[in-house]
Amino acid sequence: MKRAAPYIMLLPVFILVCMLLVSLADSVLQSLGYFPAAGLTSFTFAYYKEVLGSLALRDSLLYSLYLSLVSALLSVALGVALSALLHASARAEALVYRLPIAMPHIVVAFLVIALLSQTGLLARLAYALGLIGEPGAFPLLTQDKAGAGVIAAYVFKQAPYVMSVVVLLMRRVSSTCGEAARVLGASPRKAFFYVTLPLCMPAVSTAFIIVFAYSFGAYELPFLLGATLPRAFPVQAYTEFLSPSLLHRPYAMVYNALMLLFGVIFIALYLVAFKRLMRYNKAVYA
Amino acid sequence: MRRVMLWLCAAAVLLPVALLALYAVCARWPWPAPLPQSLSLRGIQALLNADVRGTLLSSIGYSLGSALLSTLIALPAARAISFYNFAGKRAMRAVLLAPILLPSTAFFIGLQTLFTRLGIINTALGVMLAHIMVILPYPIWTLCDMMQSVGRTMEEQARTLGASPLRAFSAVSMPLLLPACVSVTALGFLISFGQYFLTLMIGGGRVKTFAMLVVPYIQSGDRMLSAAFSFAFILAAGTVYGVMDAVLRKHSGARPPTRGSLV
Repeated sequence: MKRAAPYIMLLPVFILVCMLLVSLADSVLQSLGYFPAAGLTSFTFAYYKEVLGSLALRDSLLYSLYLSLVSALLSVALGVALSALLHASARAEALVYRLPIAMPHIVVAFLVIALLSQTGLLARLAYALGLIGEPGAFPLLTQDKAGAGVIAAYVFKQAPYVMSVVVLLMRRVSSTCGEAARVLGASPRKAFFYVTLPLCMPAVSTAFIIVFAYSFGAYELPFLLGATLPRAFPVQAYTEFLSPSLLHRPYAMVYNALMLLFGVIFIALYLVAFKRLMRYNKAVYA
Repeated sequence: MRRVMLWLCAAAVLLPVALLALYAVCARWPWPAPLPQSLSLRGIQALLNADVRGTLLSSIGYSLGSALLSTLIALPAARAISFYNFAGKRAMRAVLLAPILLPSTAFFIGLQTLFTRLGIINTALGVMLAHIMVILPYPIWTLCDMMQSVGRTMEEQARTLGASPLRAFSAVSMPLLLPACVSVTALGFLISFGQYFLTLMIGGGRVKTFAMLVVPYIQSGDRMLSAAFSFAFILAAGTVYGVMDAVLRKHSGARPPTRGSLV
């Protein structure tokens, strides 16, 4: 009975985990051509070959990697800067990150349209300042190839998240080791860049991985704010999935399996980063 | 420097909300006017429509339900992870990261095919189950942290004084964990309430949530209605969250530290 106790306590979680694993295995099987519902029962790598050789895959993958990399780097930079400036006051930090975290992505998408589109508030401001004469003269910032709108929306959502992850550790580090560096004569800038920030890096890297993984896999923002072509990877995958022919399903599942592969890499990286974070945490507490 | 930064941040967070409010009540806002030319209450009226109110209420219901169930599932799970050794504990940690780190589109497409097979596609049950799967890692992590910091020594004292295991937990540990439970439920509510794509895929348009009313307006470019619905969205989420927060503060002085979420 004693040995069974943790399993009983975890039973609902186990059931949900099994559902998750079954659904993922199903995606992989279908990508390999095993899809009895459509009469496909033989395993083959043919779908992989075809999808991996396609331009649609290459373009969407590169576009998504670009979008997530740029938005993750900007979010982390801004999030760390905000923590550095505001970690001394708990009230200030709450002000910054509560509201954006409560705002769903679709609302943020609308805000980006209202602010950055060619008839948005910024364009009107540019007109009032005499910089442009008509909406078309304002640079295209939403549904654009460079993905400025998508990136802006992600940074708005993610920088406060990064801050919420980093700020707790930073407060502890800067009041101990950072303070020690200051007492020993380091300038505030040196104490931050040579002591506090390096010691916070484990938290920063876990935040980076989470933020990158999220924007790599999410559908809403590139769907509402991204360019029609190239399509972001999730949008391309879902478009393939929506194909009415069941015989097309394995192609969609190749996209899915590739995304899952990325997910597994993200999890492995996170576990490594998290281990380091725990070690640092112990050192900082001690 | 710090003050300037604070003001900038406050502006970056509050201006968008003000813009939403402005757009929600504008009737005509033609290019290039920097402010609306005339105001109207049509957006607000659209919100007061019986169907919309119904969807809002049921949406809050689904999200509160999913969040509460997630916390209830997470509570024993976090205890097992914190205080017991069992085979597969390390694997469990990795799997619990999956809903956060797996690309969500792949995760959702997988769930859609599974739920179709299980016959719970396009049902409220399926939608809530999917939402619980997305929410669950957050309460489990937070409650694990909390349980480890509360520890088990006080509970063991109650046990040596003759309390049953259940009573020792409910009378000693539970009150200490309750604030964290309330705050993760509030977070779970926010996560669930903001889901659009997942609800669309699992609910198939048959299970309507408030998020699904907003997106068509954004897509069609109706800024006044998009803004009115977005504003109501934030207001509803903020009200439910605020009520929980107020309950929390009334019953315990300090707010437990919770991680934020992305979704």
